Amino acid sequence: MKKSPVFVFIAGALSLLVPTTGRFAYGIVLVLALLFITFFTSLCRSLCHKLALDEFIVPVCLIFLSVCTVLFKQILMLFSPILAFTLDFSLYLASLSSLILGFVFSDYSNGTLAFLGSNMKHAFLFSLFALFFYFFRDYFGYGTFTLPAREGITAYYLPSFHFFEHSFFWSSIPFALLFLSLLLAVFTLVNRKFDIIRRKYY
Amino acid sequence: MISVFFYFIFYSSAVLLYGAGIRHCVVSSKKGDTIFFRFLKAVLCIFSSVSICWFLYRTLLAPLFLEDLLFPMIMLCYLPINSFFNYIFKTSFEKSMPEFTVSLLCVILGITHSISYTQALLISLSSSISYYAFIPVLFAIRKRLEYADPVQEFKSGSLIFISIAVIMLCLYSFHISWLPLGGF
Repeated sequence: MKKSPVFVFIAGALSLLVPTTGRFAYGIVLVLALLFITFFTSLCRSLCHKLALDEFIVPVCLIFLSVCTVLFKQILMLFSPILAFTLDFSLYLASLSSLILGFVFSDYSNGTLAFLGSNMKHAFLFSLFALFFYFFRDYFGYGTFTLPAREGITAYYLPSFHFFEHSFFWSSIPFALLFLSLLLAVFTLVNRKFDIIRRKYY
Repeated sequence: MISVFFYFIFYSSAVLLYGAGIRHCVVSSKKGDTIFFRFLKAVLCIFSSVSICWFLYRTLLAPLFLEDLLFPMIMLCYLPINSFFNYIFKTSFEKSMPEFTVSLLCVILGITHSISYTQALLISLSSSISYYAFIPVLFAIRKRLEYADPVQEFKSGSLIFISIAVIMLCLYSFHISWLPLGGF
């Protein structure tokens, strides 16, 4: 049975989006890390196939994945050491998430271009979902829209209701989990309704 | 040392605060068997990996100012150790335990958050305990939810996430920084 991409996204969100800081700026950096690591590690896997290193694909790809993470962190440090310092453990968490490992060790039977295209397509789709998630958390948690800057983050204040102020809950990990659970419930509801329509008319 | 141990189990849990293995916890809670062997393997992997990595970190990376290469070095050490223990457990107990990332994240967490070998070992082990102790809790919640028979929309895991959020709030409630902000 093929898994629904939304459930894959929610599983990825548990390790990539929930435990990190709820700021859009950090979301952008993590999304870039996801795309960077997925692209280069997928290329590494293709290279392993070309070199007939099929038996060593798992260790080689995992070591290359760790090297990619360090490389991305170094590039990030060049841009903003504060961002790199704040996201220290989150970058390792992101690189070892089931999402990236799932992309890298997915089916390779259709060749390099198809494999790379499929991985990057799914990574882009997840990135859009991640950016929406971070935007929502940033707005509800802090009433701001933030962007990465050399000094850390730049915050733009958005019009918000007064209950967002002086509140820890909206910016915390439990709220992110609650939000994710609500998204999952809404998706299940919509999916079930569509299933009924499909069964009725097709 | 005892305070550090309990700090990383409850107050700053690797699963609930750092998010290490939160997805694995939710998936593993579907069946609670072989948890003892999994924990045993994780402890052996962590003990071996932290010992080797800490030694290499202090003697090789730190003197050469190459601390940023810690992650690939941990990966290089952890991969053969994990494969070795996988093989041992598979041949001795005929149990396959393909868990990989959680112990690795515990090792990274331990080494990056410590100032001595003992502390690194303690943080890694307590992070691992926080993960394995959370699985039976989630298993119990899952069973309760099955008996409760919720509506279809909440059967896909939403209530598990909400339960985890409530547990997190219970642990965070001890944090004094809630007080001046007026709680919720």
